[in-house]
Amino acid sequence: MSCELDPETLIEALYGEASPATLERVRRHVSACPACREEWQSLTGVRRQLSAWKLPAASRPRLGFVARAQLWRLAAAAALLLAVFIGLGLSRARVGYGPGGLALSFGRPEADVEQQLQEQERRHALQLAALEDRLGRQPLPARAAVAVQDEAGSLEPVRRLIRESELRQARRVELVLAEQRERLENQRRYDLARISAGLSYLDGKNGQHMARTSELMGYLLQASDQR
Amino acid sequence: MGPSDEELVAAFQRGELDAFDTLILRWDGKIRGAIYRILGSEDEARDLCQEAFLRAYRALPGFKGQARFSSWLYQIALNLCRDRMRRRRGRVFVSLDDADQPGHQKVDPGPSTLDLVESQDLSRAVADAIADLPEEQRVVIVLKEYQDLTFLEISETLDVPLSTVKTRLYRGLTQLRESLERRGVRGAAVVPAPTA
Repeated sequence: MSCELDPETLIEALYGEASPATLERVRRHVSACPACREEWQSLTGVRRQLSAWKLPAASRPRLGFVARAQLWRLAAAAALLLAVFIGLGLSRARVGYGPGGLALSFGRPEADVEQQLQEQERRHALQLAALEDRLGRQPLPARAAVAVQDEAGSLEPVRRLIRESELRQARRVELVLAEQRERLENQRRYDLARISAGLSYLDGKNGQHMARTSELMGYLLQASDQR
Repeated sequence: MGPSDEELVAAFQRGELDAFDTLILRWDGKIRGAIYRILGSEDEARDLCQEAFLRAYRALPGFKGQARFSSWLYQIALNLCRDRMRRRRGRVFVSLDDADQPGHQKVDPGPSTLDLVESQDLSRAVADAIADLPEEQRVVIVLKEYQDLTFLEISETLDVPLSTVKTRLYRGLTQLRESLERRGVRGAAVVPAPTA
């Protein structure tokens, strides 16, 4: 810059840290001076280009960085493993562990499967025979006694529960009966009282009727005597 | 609004060590970004950022508050960067890009800025251009352009006069312009004059 505008002032204005008065001075000068205007525009353009430099994945979560940096390596490893598995599958390879250790074999597996099934069948037959033998050696009466004991032992709680239940039922019936008896007694007393009151009323009516009859009879007797 | 840096520092110095966790969370990204832009290596940025915080943790009990905590932390990080760059100087770097050769002028006008942005080459070109700057200019540009520090804060962090900060920044920008042009990044956008 070969101008009156010094670089420090230009930089202050460029980054917005100049005072308003200085900024106004720079603005007027840049408008009038083609060289300084070009410099201003050029530096602003450089700043704009600087903003294009973004931080890489280092400032982002680690996972993203790993994914990007090792993606090809992981993909290659996965592809290799996939190819190996496909190849083994097509060749009908089998990996097994036998008496001789780990073994890898290729080809049709039907014969081996049949042999394994037969061995398994023999093993199961032996186990069943051993189980039957063990059960068969135990004497029947002993087994029956054990069964009876087991049954008695297991029935006793049930019986106890039934007894308790029956007692509860009996107590409940007793309570209900006592209540009914009391109610009947009250009803009887009430009915007796009403019968007694009714009889008294009848007694009263009859007495008055007889008194009047006697009085009339007296009148008739007196009249007949006067005749 | 959480506690200020100075309040967290005071809490740490009273024995509340958890306060340092908050300072790490607050400044880790900025410090790591600054180191990365100065050194250009993600691994080094991560390592040196951890080292910077470790040193800060050890030195914080004796921190007297003469400067802002952020300036002090940037000082630690920049010192680590300088040590690392000093060690690097013994090595020889060979660039496969002939545009890196000093004085090389491309005859081909090259792609436009827009094309470069689209292909992310501009980002790479800027990173390379900044890496070629002298250390003093590079540090000032990183602190100003990417860390948003004020001139005063940069002056405080680097312990240099304000005028030195501005001069370094101006020289750095002009060198970057030339360096980017050599890398085929042409044509600064036409921008209006400053407004009051």
